[in-house]
Amino acid sequence: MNMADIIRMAVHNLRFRKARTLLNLLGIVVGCIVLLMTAAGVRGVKEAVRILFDSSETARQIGLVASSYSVVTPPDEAMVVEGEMSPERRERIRQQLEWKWQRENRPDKRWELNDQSITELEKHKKIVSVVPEISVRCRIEVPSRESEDFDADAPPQSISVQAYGADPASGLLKGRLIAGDTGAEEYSEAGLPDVLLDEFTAYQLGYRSDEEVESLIGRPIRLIYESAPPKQRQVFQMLTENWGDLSTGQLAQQAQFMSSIATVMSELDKTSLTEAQKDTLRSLFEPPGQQLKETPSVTLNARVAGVLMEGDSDGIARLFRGHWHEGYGNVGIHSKLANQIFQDVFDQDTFHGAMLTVNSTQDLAEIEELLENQGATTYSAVRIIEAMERSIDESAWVVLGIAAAILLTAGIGISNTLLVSVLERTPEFGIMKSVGATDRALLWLMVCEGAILGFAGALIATLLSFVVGWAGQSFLQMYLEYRLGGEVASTLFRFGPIPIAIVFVVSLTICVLASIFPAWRAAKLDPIVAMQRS
Amino acid sequence: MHDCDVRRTQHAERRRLEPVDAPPAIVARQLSKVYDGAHHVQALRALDIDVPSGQRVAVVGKSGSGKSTLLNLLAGLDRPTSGELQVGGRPLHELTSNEMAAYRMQTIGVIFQAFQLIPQRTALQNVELPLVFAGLPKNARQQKAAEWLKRVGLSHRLDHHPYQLSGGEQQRVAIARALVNEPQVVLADEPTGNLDSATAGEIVELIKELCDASGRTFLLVTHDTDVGHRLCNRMLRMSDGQLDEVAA
Repeated sequence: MNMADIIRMAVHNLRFRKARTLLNLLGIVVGCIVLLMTAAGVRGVKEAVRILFDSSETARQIGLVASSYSVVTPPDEAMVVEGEMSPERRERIRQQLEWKWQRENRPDKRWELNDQSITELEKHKKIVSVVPEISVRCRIEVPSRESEDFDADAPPQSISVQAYGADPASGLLKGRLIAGDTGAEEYSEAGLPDVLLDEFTAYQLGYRSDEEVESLIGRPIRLIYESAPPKQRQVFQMLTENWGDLSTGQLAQQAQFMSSIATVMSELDKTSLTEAQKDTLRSLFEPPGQQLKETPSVTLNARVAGVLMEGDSDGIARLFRGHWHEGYGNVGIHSKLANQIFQDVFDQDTFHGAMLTVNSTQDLAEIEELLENQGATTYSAVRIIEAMERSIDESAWVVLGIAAAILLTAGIGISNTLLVSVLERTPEFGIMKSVGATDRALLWLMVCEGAILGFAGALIATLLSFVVGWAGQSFLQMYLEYRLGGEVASTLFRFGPIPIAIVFVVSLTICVLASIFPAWRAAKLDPIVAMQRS
Repeated sequence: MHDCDVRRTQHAERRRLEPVDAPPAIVARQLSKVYDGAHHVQALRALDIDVPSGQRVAVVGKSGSGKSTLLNLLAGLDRPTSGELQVGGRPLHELTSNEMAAYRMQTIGVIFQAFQLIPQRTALQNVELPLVFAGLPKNARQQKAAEWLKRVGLSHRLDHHPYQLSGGEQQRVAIARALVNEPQVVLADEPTGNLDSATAGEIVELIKELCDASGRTFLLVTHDTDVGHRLCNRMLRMSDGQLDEVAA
């Protein structure tokens, strides 16, 4: 008996018992659909999320701080807690010892992040842009509302702001624009650099209604940088600016403290401090007027190109609230210009940090590793994306477990049905044996029936999955767009050849395994006893 | 003349009619079959039998005499407890399971009292079944099965299922199935037992006609001596698991 005849006979038997075959198929089909839809859904949703994130600049950005430290496990002798105490207290002391050791011994690394290293980074094919982090206090002035330009008769409006370097090409900035545009790369037609104001700064300057904000576009603006490093200047100011609020007693104490400081400062050359330490103390405690005499302030004349709204530019950015965003501050100027001012005015050639944008979220991990190896600390959406993918995978495992349970139940059902079928067809098997069927032929016949059920179940499930996937696309798309706050323009059920092949293998395996025992029973039937049941 | 002498004479006459050099189709020596279940039953007791090729033998006897047991052993559906049994030169007591299946397919054809047709299959498919196991190509076996159904007078019933056929027609299908492989030996177990007398007569005539035409060895197991006489030229009586020659 050849295999073609066995298959033909098996198909005939299954067709003859239509209801039973259909019920068996149903179990297999449901299990296979769940299996295939889960695999396709996980693949599709992951891909859709990836595409969605890739479309968001926030998700593709890496914030870096040019320093890092490694956590090193302290030696055992450094962790010994001496004396009798409760275990809880011992543990607290041990924790403190560990932190102390880490503070004293951790190998801190600092990366010289300067123009040269930024240029090197920009050459990397997976990095789109590198914007050094420049954010300094400055004062801005705009002409009075009545004047077109700065006029000696009408005093300008002036406020203190935080100025930052911005990338006009950044999609994030474009997404935040409520008036004007992001400005030109370098200078406007009037030969002035473009600056971007945030809406709160505009509000503070008196431009409140939409029309007023619109009228701000193109107006001249001055940025006045004072060269003293802001942090150092603030220390002296902090000590002196609130004197008016102090009581008499407090004022006396403060005066005494300042007198001591003055004594220290006058005798500074007699101390054993290094020159650098002396300079630092002078910059901290000498009155600002003295220092500004040596390094005068710098004024940058510019024009307002655009006004940005507060907050995030796109819905996806909201997912990364804890992540470092570009463009936080009040006044944005082109990063190259900001860099130039930073270096010229403040005599700095290294940056505290920078913002990198990569091609795809898939590149985040690789670039982060590269930066961390240089000694930088990085912040990006990679952990959020990984956590999201992990969450999708975990959910998928739960659903796959359910699918496995359905398939197992279907397999037991098939085994049971085939066993009943063997009992029901006992006379048939007896007759077959009496006309020359071998045990092996009957074994193959039953196994073949199981295999056909498995194959047909997987085939029907695959075809139905395509239909369900097509129908479910819009529902899942709507749900994802609602949850992620962005447009999902991707196929959410991606049926790959490997998951389909796995479904066929799983289905066939379960059905063949389920048919082995009934097949063995059929093969071992005594033909005389079998025929007597007819 | 004494009954016993008459029987011997008739037996001798019959033996003279047979070709002397014909090889034995069925040979049994000291054949025994014991069923050891809840009750110990000795169905066959050291039975000896020689059936030359082409001979038509009827085994008659009462129910429980052991004639169906003998037929099951000859059909290769059961194995003897002891003794030797050769059919068509094959030692059945030594055959493996697969060899026994091949023996059932090639050497013998069995006509059962209850027809033993598969209800889910048509007349053509039932007749075709032994040829399927013989590995014959589909077209060849369908053609052959159709020819045999034509020979038993059922050319118009090829696609009918057993439940759509009368008892006589079902037995005709069973006869066609038993002969389709052109076996050396045809065994029949009460072939008219489930039929009315008119239909039984037709079936007897059909079997006789087919056996005459083919010259095959034929062994009939029946309790009806009349059927035995009409179909066979030798009759054996089975009693308590042993065979005796019966005068024609």
